Amino acid sequence: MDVIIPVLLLFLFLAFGVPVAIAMGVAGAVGLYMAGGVDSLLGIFQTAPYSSVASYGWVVAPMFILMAEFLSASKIINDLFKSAHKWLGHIPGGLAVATIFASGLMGALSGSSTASAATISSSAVPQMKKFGYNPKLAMGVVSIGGTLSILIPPSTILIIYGIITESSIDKLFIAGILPGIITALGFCVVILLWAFIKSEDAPRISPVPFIERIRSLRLLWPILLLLSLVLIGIYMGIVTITEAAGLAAVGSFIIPLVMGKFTFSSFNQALNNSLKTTTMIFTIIIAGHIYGYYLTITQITQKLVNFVAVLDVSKWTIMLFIVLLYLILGFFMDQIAILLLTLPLTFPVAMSLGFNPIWFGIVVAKTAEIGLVTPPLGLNIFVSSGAAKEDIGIAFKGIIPFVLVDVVILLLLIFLPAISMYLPNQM
Amino acid sequence: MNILNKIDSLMFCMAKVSIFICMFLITINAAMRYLFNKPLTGTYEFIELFLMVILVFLSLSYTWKLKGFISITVLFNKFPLLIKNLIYFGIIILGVCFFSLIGYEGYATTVEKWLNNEVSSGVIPWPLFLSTVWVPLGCLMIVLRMFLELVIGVRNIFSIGIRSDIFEMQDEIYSNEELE
Amino acid sequence: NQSNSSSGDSEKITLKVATHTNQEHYSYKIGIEPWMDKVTELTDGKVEFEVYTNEQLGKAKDSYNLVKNKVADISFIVYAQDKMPLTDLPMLPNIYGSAYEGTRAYWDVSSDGGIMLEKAFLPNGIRPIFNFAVSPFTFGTVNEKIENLEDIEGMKLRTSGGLLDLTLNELQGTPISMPVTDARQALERGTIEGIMTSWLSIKPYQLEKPLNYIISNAPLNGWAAFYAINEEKYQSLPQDVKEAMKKASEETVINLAEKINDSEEKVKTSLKEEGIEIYPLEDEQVQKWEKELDPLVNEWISEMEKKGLPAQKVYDEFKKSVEKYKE
Ligand code: NA
Ligand code: NA
Repeated sequence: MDVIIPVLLLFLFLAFGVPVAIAMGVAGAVGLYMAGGVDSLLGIFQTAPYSSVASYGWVVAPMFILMAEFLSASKIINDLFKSAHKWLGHIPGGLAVATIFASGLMGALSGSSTASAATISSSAVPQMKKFGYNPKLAMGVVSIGGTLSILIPPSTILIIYGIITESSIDKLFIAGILPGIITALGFCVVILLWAFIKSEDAPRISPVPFIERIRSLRLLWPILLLLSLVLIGIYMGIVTITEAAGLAAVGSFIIPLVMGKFTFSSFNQALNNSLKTTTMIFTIIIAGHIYGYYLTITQITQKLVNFVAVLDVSKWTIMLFIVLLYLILGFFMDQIAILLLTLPLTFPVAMSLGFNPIWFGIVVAKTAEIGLVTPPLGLNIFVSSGAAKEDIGIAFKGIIPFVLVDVVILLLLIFLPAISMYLPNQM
Repeated sequence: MNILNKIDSLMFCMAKVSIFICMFLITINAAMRYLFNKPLTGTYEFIELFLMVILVFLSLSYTWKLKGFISITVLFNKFPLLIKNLIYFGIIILGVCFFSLIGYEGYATTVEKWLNNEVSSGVIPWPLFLSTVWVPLGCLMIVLRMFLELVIGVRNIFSIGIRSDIFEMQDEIYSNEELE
Repeated sequence: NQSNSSSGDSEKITLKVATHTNQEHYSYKIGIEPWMDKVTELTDGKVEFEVYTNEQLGKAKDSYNLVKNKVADISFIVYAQDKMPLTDLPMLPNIYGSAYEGTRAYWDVSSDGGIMLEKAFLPNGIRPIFNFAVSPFTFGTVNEKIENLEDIEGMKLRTSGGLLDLTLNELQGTPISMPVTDARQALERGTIEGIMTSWLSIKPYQLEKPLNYIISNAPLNGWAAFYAINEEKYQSLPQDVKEAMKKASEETVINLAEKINDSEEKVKTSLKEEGIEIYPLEDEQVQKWEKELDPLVNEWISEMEKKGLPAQKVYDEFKKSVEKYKE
């Protein structure tokens, strides 16, 4: 009973729209009480909320969130697409390729894929439609482009994975770079094929003079330079990940300030949004810990690990099963909630089978990318459709070829761990 | 509600100051270490003990007001208005329970640390009750806000009837307040 | 699964044990594991244990609260200074000379009749079931050998914070706080010039790769930790179980004292084989360092006394025991 009721309760709460943090927290509390008595319940509620927050290492989360918010408040980010368009617009499917390119860079400036998708789609979709692009292609590109920010560091999903599993966040960040780039290239291949097969969907446009392309970088280069320095700093070990996050936030504050791109209200709004996101994440982490301790006390985790250990199947079969589980959950659920709900179970299993924690993080992050654009709950689709004022159905149709490539890349990441592990192993 | 909002804004303001200080403290600490070989003593502890706790717990209530807590609304959106409203009250009650328990435990911890004069060991002996006190304060604030939303929401159902979508309900509660 | 003490002997008792370490850690392998086996054996299987490793029940910094709040019955406590400031004593500089002395002396004051048990542990509702200490910390450096006090001045050295920072400040070094998992990389890249470490942490974090020089006799801070049981729980246990636990505790402490000393010696030998220079400070320097660091101990004692804690007495008792176990 002390296993069934709290789990049922959790799914009931979630289905009825109870915020994930409250659902997990209350279900966990009921479970703790049933499995361990009132001492366990009160004991965990005394330690877990404070301990889940009071940690120097986790200040990376608010800092990278702050950086992204400053950059989007400064509107510098809006220039990104314009510039990419000027550089790449004239090649086949050029505007779409430029959008992917801009999304990749956005991914490096932002930890949140929805923020990235919203910004890009509001500027890129009207532009593509103006030049006669098929709305399906346009919507597909902007929706899928936003997902790049999950693998390309900084990444909220990878920070949360690092906090929950106590894996090194800097290694996770570095490990995400190559898979992120490969994913972006994969999307470009889809666009080129699309433009080749149905050239009427992506009309060619004439090149922009070189001097104008250079000029478009005027506002962007300081930020891009800052971001490259931060990444190189982490990779070379010159700064710790926390320092890198702090420096990135300060840089993203000062550069727009000097350029006169900040108003007080946009600055204030950036602080508001950062705190809102940070608090949302940490509330879920608190609840996730409470729920995780409940699972521990019932020894479900241990039993599951033992059960998997005696299964007569290869560890790859189990891994594929886990990945499939993530893809299925991704259809219906929020990506952060999925991580919090499942990692207390899947991570110990994956570790007991001898998989690498960093690699597992990248694989899980990749499934989160896919979950963001699959129906019925495809957060990125909603956001980009909303921002571009386009029909959701068109976006879901346009996304199909990109999702197929995503699945292929996911399989590549699973069976060629070197793609994720090459860079972190050099650190 | 008005006083509540004022206190809440003040707390949220503290959270904003915290995140801002955090950013500069980390940077200055790193710079001092590389340039002058002398890091800022206590940065690590100050962020861990105070800034992190303040920036999360003091923005709890405001995050609720800004609808910042994520939930899964696929099924929820399909319900008729009356059910939505009832569920929303249920959610608030769960939230009140959850944050009350955290807040109460945080309060007990803080009192204990205060009575025992507990300090952190290290170069600067920070008083530890100042680190945990933000937990009960933040929780108290969000519980008060949720509780008032519940009271006003129930009263509105009886006086005005059900006519708002669930996501507009919060807004309505606050805008109705302005009228009073 | 609430166990009940008063009813018959045949009833099984299950105790929850929590630790933040894994099962390979020495505190587990030669500490709690043999202790649990011994208790089960002495009680003919009446007492059983449910073990939660790897922070499954709570973070290392919450280890005290876990057992205090009865989330677990027994927990490995590495940090409880804010609740029981007197337990800081073994972590002060130059308190004991070796793991053996430290472990035995700490147990003398923490077991039945000991002053630390009466004045620190029991008032907080917990009772140590065994403890251990490692040899005092040392300095390991990459490029510059530390031979006298002046060498430390301004040197960036990694510490794990707390009292170690005080020591390093006193010696004019620059303490850098970072997770020990980052230390190797930081040493290799010159972010830090050296590290203040215990002998047993060197190999697990592969610090032997970047380090070239390690002092063999630095009179620095010691480090000790303990497993403890919730006192209420303990008192609710039948007399024969308590006896079994006492017996297991005595055995475990002596075993830990000897084995930790041995493994530290082994570490030293193997570090030498790998080409690391392990060198002693000259006697005159050791005295100079002690003179520099002694005020820290005195300050600590007077701080504690101001809070009404009998630190002087605890210190005296501890020191007396240390003398007893000096070879
Ligand atoms: Na990103
Ligand atoms: Na989905």
